[in-house]
Amino acid sequence: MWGFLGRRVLHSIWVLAAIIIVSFLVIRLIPGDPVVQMLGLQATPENIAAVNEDLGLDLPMGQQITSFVQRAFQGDLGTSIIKRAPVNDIVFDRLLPSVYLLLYATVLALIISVPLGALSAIYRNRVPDQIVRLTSMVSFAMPQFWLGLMLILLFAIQLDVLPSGGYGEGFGGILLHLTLPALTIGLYLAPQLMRTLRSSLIEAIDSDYVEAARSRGYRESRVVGKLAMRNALVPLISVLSINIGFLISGTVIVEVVFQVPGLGALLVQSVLNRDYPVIQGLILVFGAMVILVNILADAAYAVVDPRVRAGMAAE
Amino acid sequence: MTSLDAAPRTDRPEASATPLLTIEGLRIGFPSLEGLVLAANDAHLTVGEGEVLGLVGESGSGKSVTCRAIVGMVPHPGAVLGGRIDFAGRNVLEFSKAEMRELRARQIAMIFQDPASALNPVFTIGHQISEVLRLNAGLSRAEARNRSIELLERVGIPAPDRRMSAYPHEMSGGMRQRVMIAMALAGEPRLLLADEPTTALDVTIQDQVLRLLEDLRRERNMSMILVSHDMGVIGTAADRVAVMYAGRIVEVAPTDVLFSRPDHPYTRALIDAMPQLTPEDRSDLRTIPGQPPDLLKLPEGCPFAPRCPLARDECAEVSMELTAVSPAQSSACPFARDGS
Repeated sequence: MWGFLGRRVLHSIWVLAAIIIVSFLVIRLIPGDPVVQMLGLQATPENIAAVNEDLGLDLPMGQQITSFVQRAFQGDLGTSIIKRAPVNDIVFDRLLPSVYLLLYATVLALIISVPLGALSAIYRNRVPDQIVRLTSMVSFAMPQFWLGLMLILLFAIQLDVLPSGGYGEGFGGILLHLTLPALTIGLYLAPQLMRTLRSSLIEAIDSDYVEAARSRGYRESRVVGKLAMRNALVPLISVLSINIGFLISGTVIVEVVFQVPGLGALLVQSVLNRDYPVIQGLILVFGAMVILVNILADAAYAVVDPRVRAGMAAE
Repeated sequence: MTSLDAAPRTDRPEASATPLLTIEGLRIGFPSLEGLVLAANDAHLTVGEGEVLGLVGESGSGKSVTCRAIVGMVPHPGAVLGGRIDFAGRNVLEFSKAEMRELRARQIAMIFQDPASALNPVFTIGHQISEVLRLNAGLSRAEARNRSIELLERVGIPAPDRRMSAYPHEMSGGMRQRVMIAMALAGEPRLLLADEPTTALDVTIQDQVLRLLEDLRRERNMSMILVSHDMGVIGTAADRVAVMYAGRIVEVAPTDVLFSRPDHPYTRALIDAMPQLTPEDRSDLRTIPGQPPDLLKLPEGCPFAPRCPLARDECAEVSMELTAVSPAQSSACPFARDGS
């Protein structure tokens, strides 16, 4: 298993290199010029040329890529054109809020979806199942910005128990401030996890090994909660990892609504300013995070299902 | 014939010794869109202490469901509609959920047709056997481990201590069924329900598993119901055989009597349909004419009549009650001995 995961990490270097090159080219295909953005409409052509030269944007494309890739692999993502600060610092400052938000949202989604998914599977097609499925459909169908605003209205304004946004200090403060945005994302993620768990758990409950476990006189709670659940986790891990992959760059709206100083908000700002190095750095970070999530998902499969472990050993 | 028809119930031969299990008038129904399907219809069975009862019949004849009813596991949406199932003197149909769990944990164990799917794929076999011992026999982790190794050794698994950490997918079909048997033995059951235990196995492995079951039965004086559609398996392993057709028991007899002097035309057809490997008979595979019965459209009286070579008009009035043919044999067909 460790060998398999090690190889996955090595493969991911090639994936990252491809991400760097493709994103480098694509960004420069978008109309608009960072120097014009920076200097404003009154800039003279001489000024623009001078700044271009200063930033190395006048060099041939091939040379720009080579130097960017070289520095990227040494851990230096360059300097922001607009902010005049190292991209490393800018991105790193924004990385933790986004990561915490995502983790928090995932935990909330799991807390919501696992019991409800199990309830649905146990009471399939009966009233509890119908209620859970209907509610989750509604929760899934609500636009995130609207759901976020409604949560602010309820918890921050009406009840006044949670801050409406921003980012706190220390573990408690961060937890408190990120509760509403995490709940917004969690309520979007939970229905998908719940439906996945419901169907995989139903399949497990109907299986022969569950029947056999019942024939040994085990309690239903053990049969479903442990023996069937362990088998039902693999599809849950798949759906979770795919969704986290999307959410890494897809929390923009939530971050804007709740003023979370995260990567999503930074991305929007940098694209508007054509801040090439920052966009570049963000894409690289998003790519690395997606790859990391996938590797973690592979490791989780292996922990849960010994047949996956055997497959990894054989590869 | 009339004297046999009038024979009282107590003359049924299997009621002679004190049986461990007695099923009387069991009716199991499955609701369907077109009406109620009776998977077991007025079924009577007994199993003595240490006896192996073979339960034979085509697919859909109700043998598996009857077996499952004994431990309260008739699959949804089926339900037991009537009759009684007495195990060690108590009617299990009246058991509470807790009593039923206790019955499954300590008295009656079950093994299944496909050991590949009846073992949980994500736990080691050691974990699964130990779990039975810890939950049902209250052993500690260490005790359960030692006892598990003993059980695996007893069912003929080589290097059992190393096999404890194997997963089901790492074992062969025969080995998996041995593990299932070991798990069934863990609760020291008095009755083992073996539902097609050899059907998914190679013929050579079938034989080994049947031998193992026979040895275990002798050494523990365990009773067993062996469900199979394979007359060969039944002939090898059962002391007594009950033949089931369309939810009804049509004949009960000691195995040797059943094979040498079958009474019910359906039993005869089943025995005739066994493939023969004698040179003159090699190409002639006899089958039972017609289709397995549609349980929604059963004829009045005997359900086998549409496929029966001895069928006559009176078949529609047959009560299907088992009547004694000889001291140990009873059959539901009143016409089988007429002019045949």
